[in-house]
Amino acid sequence: MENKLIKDGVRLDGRKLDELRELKAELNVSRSTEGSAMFSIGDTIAVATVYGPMEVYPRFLENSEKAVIEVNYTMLPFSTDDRNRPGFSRRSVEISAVIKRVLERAIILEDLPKTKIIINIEILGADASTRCAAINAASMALVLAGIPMRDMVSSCSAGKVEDTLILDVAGKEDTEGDIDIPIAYFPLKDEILLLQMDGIMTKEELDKLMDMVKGGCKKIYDFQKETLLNIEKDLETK
Amino acid sequence: MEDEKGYIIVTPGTLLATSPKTGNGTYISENKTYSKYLGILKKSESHINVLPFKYSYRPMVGDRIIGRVKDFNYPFFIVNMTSPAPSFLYLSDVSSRFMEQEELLQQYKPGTWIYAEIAEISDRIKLSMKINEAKKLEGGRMASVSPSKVPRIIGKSASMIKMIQEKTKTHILVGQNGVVWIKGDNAGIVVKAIEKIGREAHISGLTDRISKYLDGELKNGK
Repeated sequence: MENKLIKDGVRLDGRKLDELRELKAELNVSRSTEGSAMFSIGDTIAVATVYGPMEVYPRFLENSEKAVIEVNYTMLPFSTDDRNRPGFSRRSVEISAVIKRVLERAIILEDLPKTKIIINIEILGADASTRCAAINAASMALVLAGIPMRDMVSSCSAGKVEDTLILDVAGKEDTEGDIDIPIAYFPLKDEILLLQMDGIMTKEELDKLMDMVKGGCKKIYDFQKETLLNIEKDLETK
Repeated sequence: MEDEKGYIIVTPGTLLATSPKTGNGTYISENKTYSKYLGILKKSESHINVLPFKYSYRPMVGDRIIGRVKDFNYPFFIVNMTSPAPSFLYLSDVSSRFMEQEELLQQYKPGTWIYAEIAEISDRIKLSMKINEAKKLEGGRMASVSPSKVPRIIGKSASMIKMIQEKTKTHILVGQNGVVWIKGDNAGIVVKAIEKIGREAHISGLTDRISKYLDGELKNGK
């Protein structure tokens, strides 16, 4: 291979092995919703909007002990290089289900019996680890909507490219790399809520990667927290 | 989360105490107290409270609310009051005097705003208009704030609401669910002032600031 993805510990986009891409976040991007947030990591942009708590329809889904949540993850047509067919696909349904399980653990569902919370996540730009950006955006939007939460969830991806372990897979590393692991992490209890993997790796490598990716998640968690604590500035301008 | 401003903002999952303490907006896990919401921390010796910036209204018996009649379905009116579940106003609870059904249907058409009390919460929320203050709201303007800001609009022993009413010569009703009804010539200014309260409720000296704001706005208007 002529063009190597990693040269002397520096990656294609000039990052170090354990460096995240640029993080950006914006609060209350949509005024008609209870809470909304935009989260971007590099060229991956996710917008999450939260509606509710509201009445449960269809009625048979109602649970008298806890809230029901619904997650809709969609990639917009212009998010990828080739036009993406709008609407739900097999992939988006799977990712919605995965994110739902993560958020069910984070929200205190017992506080809101007989209600439903709808979380819509739109991917405006896709450059690897979209589900991580989606989880980060969704957890910030839920906090803004005033939904009781145990803690915020932060999520980050890691991978293996040319026998080197890297944090926050992006661009070519995603398409040509060997392994891609997205994880969602609960910093408060040191709990892992999501771990998906494709590829083959040894147990030692996985342990190493976990340490790396937890560090990345903590950085994202601090960033989320900092953004939310600056909510006052946001309130003054809007 | 600086102490200099006189208040501390906390995010969900922030460790508030290493012992289990009672309070609103917090939860206890493994004998430690954590925050549940993004909000302002209020600490006292026995309690720890977190006042959220925003939360959805949770109905309580005895709350006075402002709602909108959505539909009639014998024998009750369905009233929307911006809470997850709708509330029901039974025909027998509409008025303390007897009224014919046709007359009630004429008066409480869908879209009518009412001020009522929550009488009972069982499997459904039942409203009552048998209290003296309850009435049908005619004319005026509506404003809405987060239910967590309602105590700020009313103020200590109703100081804030009295001040606004005297300055602008309007009549104001505040529902516990965060809906505010304003009647009077200066209703537009009051709506803006209420929005301002919603944004700046946590900063001290609120009544003075709102008072100044109203003076300025009233001068501009004249």
